[in-house]
Amino acid sequence: MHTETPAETYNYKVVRQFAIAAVVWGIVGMGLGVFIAAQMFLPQLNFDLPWTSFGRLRPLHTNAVIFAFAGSALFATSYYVVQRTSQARLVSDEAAAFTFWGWQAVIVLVAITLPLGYTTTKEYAEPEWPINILIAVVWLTYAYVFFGTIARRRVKHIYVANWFYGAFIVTIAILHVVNNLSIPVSFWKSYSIYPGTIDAMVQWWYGHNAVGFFLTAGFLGMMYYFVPKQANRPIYSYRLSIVHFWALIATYVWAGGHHLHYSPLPEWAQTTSMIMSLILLAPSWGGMINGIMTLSGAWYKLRTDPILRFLIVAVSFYGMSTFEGPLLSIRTVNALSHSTDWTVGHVHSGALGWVAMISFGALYHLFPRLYGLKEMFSIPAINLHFWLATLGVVLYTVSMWINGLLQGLMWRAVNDDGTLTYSFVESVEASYPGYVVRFIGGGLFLAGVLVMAWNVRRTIRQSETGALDNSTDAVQGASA
Amino acid sequence: MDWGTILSQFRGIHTLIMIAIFVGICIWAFSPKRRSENDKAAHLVFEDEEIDARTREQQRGSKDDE
Repeated sequence: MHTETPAETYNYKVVRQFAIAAVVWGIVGMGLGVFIAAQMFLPQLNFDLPWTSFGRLRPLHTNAVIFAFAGSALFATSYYVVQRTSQARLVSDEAAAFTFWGWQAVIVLVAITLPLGYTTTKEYAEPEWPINILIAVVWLTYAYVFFGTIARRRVKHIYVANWFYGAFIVTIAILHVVNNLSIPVSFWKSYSIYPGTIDAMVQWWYGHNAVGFFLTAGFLGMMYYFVPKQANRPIYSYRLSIVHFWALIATYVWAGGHHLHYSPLPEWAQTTSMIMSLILLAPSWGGMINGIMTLSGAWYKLRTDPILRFLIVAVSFYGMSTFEGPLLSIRTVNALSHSTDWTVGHVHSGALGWVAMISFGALYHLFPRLYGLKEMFSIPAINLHFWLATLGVVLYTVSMWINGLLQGLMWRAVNDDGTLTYSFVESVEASYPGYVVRFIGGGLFLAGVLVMAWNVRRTIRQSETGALDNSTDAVQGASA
Repeated sequence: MDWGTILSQFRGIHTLIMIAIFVGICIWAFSPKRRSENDKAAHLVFEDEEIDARTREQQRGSKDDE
């Protein structure tokens, strides 16, 4: 393929592969989540086996939803968006195919080693060193494909979505390598090169930027393409998007220390991270406003278009969780919330409400286009998915807020003589109703994904059988 | 001056440099001269339908090898 060829076409094959992978891993990852949620009130489900215990399945759940589901959605959308806004085919079909199969290999290896108990114990970075090396190789190839495609773009501007995707790719490469520097002692065991508190700081510099760049910057790239495209209107303010980008990436990297309040981390470092987390509210909400206001003057579209509703509700959840985040980073609030279910609720309002919902919107937008169809097989099924997902997130987050406050208040309650009012077990007992409601919420959310999988399957089958009423063949140029 | 002093002075100056860069980016992004460029960039998402259509056309031709 050469630049400036009049016969330029896009590589949709790798986008299709990653899009389908996102649906499959979404079911696996969220299914695991629902299962371990059930373990919280039905401990018998641990089966008294090490491989199925909560401690081993929980990191499998987080890795599966973050890196397998969200990661595949990011690969799919970034490859799609970078091609379409650069008006250029991916720089190398072979390298793109390598990133797909390499990433799937990483996922399978993680799914085998984590239940077996091989872990670095670093949260969201549990895979051991041989897998980390494979991740680094795949990621550098990803960077080559992405930036190589930008380099051969046929337009002057690099669209803002690509800035966000690009920042996500570069930062994750740095974070992954620095945080996983370790000395192997055997094939499946290594020790971090950092000592004590420094190791903790490096880990949470990594951990919070995994949130900031993997789960935020990448998905903001998604927002900046799919919201305007689905609404058929340009982004509300392009200049705001430029300020949004630089402010967000310059601030996020400082926030990690808020995971280590009241720890041996020096107090000035805790305070710096708290202040930076509070400042983060400004760029976060700037971005949210930019996404939502794109619909300004066209709000009626939300009534008829469930895909747009997914996207806009996702951006609203982004606003809610980026308000809650700075709040939780305040040291005195953290004293109440730390180690309680409030944290779990906060993460899931971001992960389900923002990351998953915007991915669903983007995937529903993508599938028909990738398969040469006008629209998904069933629009009512998208609507059903939307309401299952929304109800699921609300049940999940509200039950975890209640549990979190309950636990925080019970743990700090003291009697007149200074002894603790409640034992730990009493707070666990009090949390049972919340755990059941959370399980129901997670189950509804998972049910929504199953509805999506059915819809995707039927859509692909329509494409295979050449259903004329839904084909772009039948109506020339009917694409939205 | 030893390195410790130089470093601590740089920390203060570094903050000022970052603020200046940020204000500079804001002024640049919002300057009236950028308006038409910004508008052009914002419309990039709608300007490649032809390549997309060609890709679909090619896909239909080669559906068997998918």
